Amino acid sequence: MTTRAVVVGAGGLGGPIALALGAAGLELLIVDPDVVELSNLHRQIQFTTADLGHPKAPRLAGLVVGRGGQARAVVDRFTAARADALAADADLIVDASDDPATKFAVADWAVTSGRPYVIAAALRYGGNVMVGAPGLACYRCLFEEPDREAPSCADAGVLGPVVGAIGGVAAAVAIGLVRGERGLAGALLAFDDLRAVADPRIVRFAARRDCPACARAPISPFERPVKLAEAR
Amino acid sequence: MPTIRIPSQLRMLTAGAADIPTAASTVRAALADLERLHPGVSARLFDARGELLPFIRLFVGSDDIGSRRGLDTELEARDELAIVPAIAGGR
Repeated sequence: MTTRAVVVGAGGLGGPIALALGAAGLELLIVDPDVVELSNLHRQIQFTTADLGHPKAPRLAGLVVGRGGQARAVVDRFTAARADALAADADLIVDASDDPATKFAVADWAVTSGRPYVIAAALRYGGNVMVGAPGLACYRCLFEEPDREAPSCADAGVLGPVVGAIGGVAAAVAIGLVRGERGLAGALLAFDDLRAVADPRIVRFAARRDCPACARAPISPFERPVKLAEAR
Repeated sequence: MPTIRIPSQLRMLTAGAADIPTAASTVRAALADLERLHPGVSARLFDARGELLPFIRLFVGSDDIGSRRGLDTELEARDELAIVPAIAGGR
């Protein structure tokens, strides 16, 4: 049976994630509202100057299909209001966006719909990968609410190869999740400065009793641990 | 001596330093030390009431301080106190 995944973001992280998941045989829906700009090209190496001005999502989906994979594209922002329409048939959702509100929208939707998920982020020389699964403490348990003033890559910069490295890790753990691997589920992998240290700090955290996302989850993190197969 | 691990996003406030040694015996005292050494860091970690901002997490080794004694978590000589902020970038 084909595994369906939604990849939110078609940029520096979304590129390697989509190409890896597509090559691994997952059927993808790639969601991104933006067009390719010249300033993107140092880190979004899936694009060339021929892509300038074109929407990212269909260009990236075309690359996945060109390599024998299956991918569709939606040129839109992933929001709580649009989540069901975009992701209802997904087995997994991966966030590769660069804005805090989208990350929380992805995580909250995944938690309340009982889907495994990965939240990837990169900035300057490092990044984070959060591996989420039903029945475990969630992204909102970890960070509670978005930092409305958080800098994006466009604001604070990012070393080009960093997004490739973080995206590769995100894709690997996503494939692990769909195969039922729970070794990293519920963990945050924090890569501090990839120029100096390649190993992440792997941390785990407790669910918050007052987490509004977990309160709506079909499987509470305060109940017994469950296998991914039971969650759907 | 415990060390405070500064994330790359905050190093502009610590003159580029990634690791700050501290003689403090608790997380709270360590962060007060950090503010004394590098004024301005606290404003990126705490709100006006002195509560840790919701998008900042602190870990001693791999332990969330919330699973221990919060800001009163004790630090041992070899402990590393890591500041882990939410990151939004990546597109």
